[in-house]
Amino acid sequence: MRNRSNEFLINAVYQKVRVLFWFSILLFAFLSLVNYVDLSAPIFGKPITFTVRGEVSLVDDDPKAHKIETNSKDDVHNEIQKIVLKRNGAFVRLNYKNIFDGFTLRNITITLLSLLGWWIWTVFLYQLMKLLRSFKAKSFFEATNIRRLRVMGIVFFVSPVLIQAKDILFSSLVANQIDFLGMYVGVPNGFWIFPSIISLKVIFGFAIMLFILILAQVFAYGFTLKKENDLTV
Amino acid sequence: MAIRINLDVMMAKRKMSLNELSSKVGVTLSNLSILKNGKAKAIRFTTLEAICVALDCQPGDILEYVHE
Repeated sequence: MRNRSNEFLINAVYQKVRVLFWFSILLFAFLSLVNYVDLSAPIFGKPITFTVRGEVSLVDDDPKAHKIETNSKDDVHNEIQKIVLKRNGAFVRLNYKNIFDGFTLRNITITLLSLLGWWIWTVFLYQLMKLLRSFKAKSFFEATNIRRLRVMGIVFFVSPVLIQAKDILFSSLVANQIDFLGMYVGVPNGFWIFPSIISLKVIFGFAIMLFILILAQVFAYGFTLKKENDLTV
Repeated sequence: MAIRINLDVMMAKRKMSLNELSSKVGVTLSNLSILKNGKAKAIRFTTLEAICVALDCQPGDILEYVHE
């Protein structure tokens, strides 16, 4: 009975992973499209709203720091409707007409990194699907399965790293484009955008990669044992 | 491989076919052919004993070390 329930479990997980794999292709295609629209705003001329989270901190001891002085109306961006600032460095949200400064190498790299960071999960799900299919056929300790596990582990680490690199570049893009026309920020007050190189997702990705690679080593040992056992008369 | 299996020699002496030997020893034909072709990596003592009983010989008649 226990063998039957294990078979059922593997089959159930395999079916779900298969559905998830095909769904992820649609999802990432949609995300790619959204990302493209976001970075090609001058073509569409739409205002871009972006939220810079977490790493933006406003140093503020001067009560005059948030005073807004209007210059000539032509120079003030029409789209600055609301500036919501929270002290203690939580979160800054700004509306701008666009933050896109042309098809520079940096912007293209941002698009490519984010695309790759998302699409690499399709590879992960594909490898997982193939792995579960071979488990369903009761061939566990094969060389292909070991390779699949290693690829899965590497993907788990590489994807957050790519996303983090994209975040750093995007922060520099935002920092170059933020234009506080009409707003007085007193000295020594200011704000900075501080992208971190090692973030929580990178650490989690690394930890999970370790577990998956250890599992791949265990499978490699099982493969050796099985090979010996198969050729034992 | 350094250990050579002289199973075919012994089978010819006792005039026994592979099928007959496999039924006497209790090993599948495929395993026996693996052994005969030198592809086996290990042999159980129980199997070796059964082969020696079936062919009425010593292990040294079947296994031979060839220095390479």
